[in-house]
Amino acid sequence: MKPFPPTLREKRRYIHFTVRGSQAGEAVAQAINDSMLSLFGEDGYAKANFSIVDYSAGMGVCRCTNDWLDNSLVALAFVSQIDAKPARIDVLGVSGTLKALGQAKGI
Amino acid sequence: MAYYDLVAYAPAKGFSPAKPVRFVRGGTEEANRKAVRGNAALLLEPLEGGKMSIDSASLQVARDNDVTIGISFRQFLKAGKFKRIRLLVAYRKLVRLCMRMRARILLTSGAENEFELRSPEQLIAFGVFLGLTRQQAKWALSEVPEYLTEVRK
Repeated sequence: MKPFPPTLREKRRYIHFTVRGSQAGEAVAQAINDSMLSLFGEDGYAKANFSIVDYSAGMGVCRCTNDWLDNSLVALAFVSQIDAKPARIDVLGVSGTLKALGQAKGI
Repeated sequence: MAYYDLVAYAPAKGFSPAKPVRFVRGGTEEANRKAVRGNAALLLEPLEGGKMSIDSASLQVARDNDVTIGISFRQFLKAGKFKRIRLLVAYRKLVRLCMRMRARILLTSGAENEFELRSPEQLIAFGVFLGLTRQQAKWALSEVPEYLTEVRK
């Protein structure tokens, strides 16, 4: 299949985050997804093209489109409980490529 | 109410205000009116329960008396699903009105414990979410608190 022309490709942003509190992978993903869905609904979730790329030991990377970066950051900020225990998600950095994020944050 | 970011987090990171900031918690129309006419520097959480309890006249007085309007993220965090919707509607109106009246806005996490703290990136995004531009949100998070702690008498 012919690839999408670069000008038509959506611009992505990778968000490096860390979790304070309960750090079980499944529960963290569930909490983030719930927050995204409750704030922006299914339509917003689809437009943001949000997904968790990588997560291990309290640190992770999630991906969204450039236009929805601020909204995705707000959704992460609205996570206040994971596994019914108080928790918070801190954003450590944002980048356009995983490589640059890795170089900046050493992941 | 003890603000975790002011009493525990900021001193631990080496930040201490040059002098204490006089702030008042609003919520009702009467409390807000009293706050903007009094000698407080900061009116925190002026809207409660999603009711628009501050008007353009009060904001004009706030601007003239050098009173800053503080928006706390904690209010949204603690609100239930439908209360949060009402709060979002009301605060978006307030932000529009503040911009129109040129009243100063401050963004804070308003944290009571370490789990309610939020990173600057998230608070800036929250400001944009409420209708500020990115530059205004940065200003509300960095320059306004600095102005309050150092310049205002």
